[in-house]
Amino acid sequence: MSQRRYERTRLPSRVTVIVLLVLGAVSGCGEQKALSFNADAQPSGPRLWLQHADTHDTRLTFEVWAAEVGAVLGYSFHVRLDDGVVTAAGEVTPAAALGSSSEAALYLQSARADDLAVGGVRRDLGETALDGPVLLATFPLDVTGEVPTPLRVERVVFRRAGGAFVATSAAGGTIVRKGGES
Amino acid sequence: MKYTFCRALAITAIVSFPGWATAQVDDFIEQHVWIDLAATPMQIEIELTLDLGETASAIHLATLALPLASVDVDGTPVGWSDSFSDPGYITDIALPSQLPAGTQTKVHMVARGELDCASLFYPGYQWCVHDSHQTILPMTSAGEAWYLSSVFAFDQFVGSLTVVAPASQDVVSVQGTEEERSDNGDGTATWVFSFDYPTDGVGLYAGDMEAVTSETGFPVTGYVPSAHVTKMEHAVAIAAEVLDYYNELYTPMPADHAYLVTTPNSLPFGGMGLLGTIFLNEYVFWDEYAYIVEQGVAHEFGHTWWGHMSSGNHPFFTEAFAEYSAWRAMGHLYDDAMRTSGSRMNAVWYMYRRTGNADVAVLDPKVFNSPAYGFVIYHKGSTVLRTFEEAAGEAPFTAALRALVQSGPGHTDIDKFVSEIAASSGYDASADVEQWLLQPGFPHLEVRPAVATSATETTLALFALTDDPFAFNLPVRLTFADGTTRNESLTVGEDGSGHVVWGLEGYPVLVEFDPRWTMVREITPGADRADVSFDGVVDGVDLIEVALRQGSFLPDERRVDGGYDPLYDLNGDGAVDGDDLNLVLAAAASH
Repeated sequence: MSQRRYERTRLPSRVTVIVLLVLGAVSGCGEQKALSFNADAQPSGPRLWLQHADTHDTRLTFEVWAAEVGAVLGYSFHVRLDDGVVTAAGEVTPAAALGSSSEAALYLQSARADDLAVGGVRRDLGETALDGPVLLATFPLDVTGEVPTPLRVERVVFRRAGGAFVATSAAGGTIVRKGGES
Repeated sequence: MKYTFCRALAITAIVSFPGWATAQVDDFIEQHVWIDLAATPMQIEIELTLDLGETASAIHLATLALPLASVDVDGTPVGWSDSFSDPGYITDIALPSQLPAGTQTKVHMVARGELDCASLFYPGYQWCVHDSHQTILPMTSAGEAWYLSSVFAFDQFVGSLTVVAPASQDVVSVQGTEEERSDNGDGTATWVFSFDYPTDGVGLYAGDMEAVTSETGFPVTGYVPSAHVTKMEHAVAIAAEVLDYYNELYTPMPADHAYLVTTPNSLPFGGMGLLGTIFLNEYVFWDEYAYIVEQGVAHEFGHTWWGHMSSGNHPFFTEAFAEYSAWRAMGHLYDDAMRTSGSRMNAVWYMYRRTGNADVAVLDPKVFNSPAYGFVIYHKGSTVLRTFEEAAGEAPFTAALRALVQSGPGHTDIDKFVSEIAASSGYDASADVEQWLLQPGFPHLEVRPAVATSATETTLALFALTDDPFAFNLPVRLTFADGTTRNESLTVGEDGSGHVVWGLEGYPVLVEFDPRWTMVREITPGADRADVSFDGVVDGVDLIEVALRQGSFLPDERRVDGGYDPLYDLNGDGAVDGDDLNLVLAAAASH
């Protein structure tokens, strides 16, 4: 018995269609939504908060701001992140909120996998008014995993010249895809 | 820096004549002294009643600084001679016959001539002053005596002092009360002072210095050269407040007026505290020593209670107690931070400035012979008393101290100290006596923190380790980001380790160990030297903590408070400065 040989376009099977649709959705075949940041509501009074400054592909740049803190000798804070989803893309850049020269103030930064630390202190043990809004630091993060993922601002410390602590509220936020809920 | 040595010379005598350590110790009962300062030459007449300590043919008394003219015992003229083994320091008085132990005998002596003020113990210095303007006679010592004292023990007596001085001069002694002053009509006046409270410390001032009297608080009069009147006004004001505090704290002193006499810089001591009267060297009123005035006044007046109202046969019970009292008084006058500064200053001076790094136990019987004497007795000893106060509780410890004072002079020793603390607090201080007073050294402690956080709680674990043989409870103060605090305690056991885990309401941004300096100790972070906040990470809090101590330094002079806390001196160079700040920055950036 001879076999008829046909030349014809193979139509995709049902399973193949489903797989192709899913792959298209995941790969952005048809565009994945851009990364964004949903900031937590700013508290009132002495406060510190995160602000999303820029997005370039998977790299987001954030700023840390303070307001209504009053006159301070120095400050310290940490930004906590999920190192399975985001990584520090470079050094944290403290802003010269207490003075721009090295004689005026010292600034500290450190970047661990899940924690960014920033601090500053006036060298003359005087005070600078941070009534604000005042930029304290800038830092870039690379998103390497699935969002949404929170950024938490913790251990926020402001101190007066005599060493007294200033009770301060802090607001972080969540990295999301645009249109995504946190 | 001159030491205060209200009792130092006497202690020197007891220690320096060891051959007599087991010799007879006669019991002085009563002593009356007559001194004519206006006469030329000076004359001193003494009548001493004593009980013989053992059967004897002679008695041995401190040599007067005036030549003896006559001596009689119970009315019988007797001979005298320089001690064979200690000439110039001890005079042997022959008894009319051998007398059995317990015999009460009366010694009457007249001394007349030029008063020899050259110090035997401090060559180049004068132990006294006698000129047309003033006479200053501090507490007596062997060879430098103007009244009789026992060479072999602290031995209190009651009695009186009668002084003839130029009528224009003010005259003060001790115990605050003049019995009477009468004008003799010949340009001189006679003053009589009664010593009703047993004492072995008598002082005398007669002179024409400016008199400055306190305006509030306990009545205090200071005598000072006119150039320093303003500073004396401050000194008597401080003294008035301090004496009110001591009277309330311990028990009122048997005097209704206190005196502060300025001595020339030719005298070898910085200060001398008697019962209700202190001598302060003029240099404390110089600008460069202004920091000494308040602590010096408080320390010397502390001796009214520690060394005169109460006393023991070891300088710990006088100098350490007076120094402890001084900073307690400073805390009362100012605030707890002031008291802490004094405790820290003393602890730091002992820990890091001992001559040749010598050390000796506080209660070592030969401590006075050690180059570490001052460091150990004044500075470690006073801080150790703070440690006992912390362990017993402030009120019970004060009650114990009050009981020691009320037991009277000559009755304080370490056993009584321990028993009074136990009676008032239930705390058995024996182990702490063993480690803090009967052995040299202090604990060097390394502490490693570990903070863990979860969605529901935060825990702080502390691991402490020391190789030194000390066990103690270390006060811990936790501070959170909003400035609220929580007080805890970390126990370091006899094996030299301590471990504790606390559940907390939030992350502790600052963990402080013994922030009030209640003990002599050195504490360092075990993991990262720059983590001075002991929260497990080097961050801005550490930067701020070091910055707040900028300018502090390890002083080269005693009683100078450099504000120094070794924790913040990261590079150990004796100064907290930009180099230490840079070390914090580098440590943070390396993570």
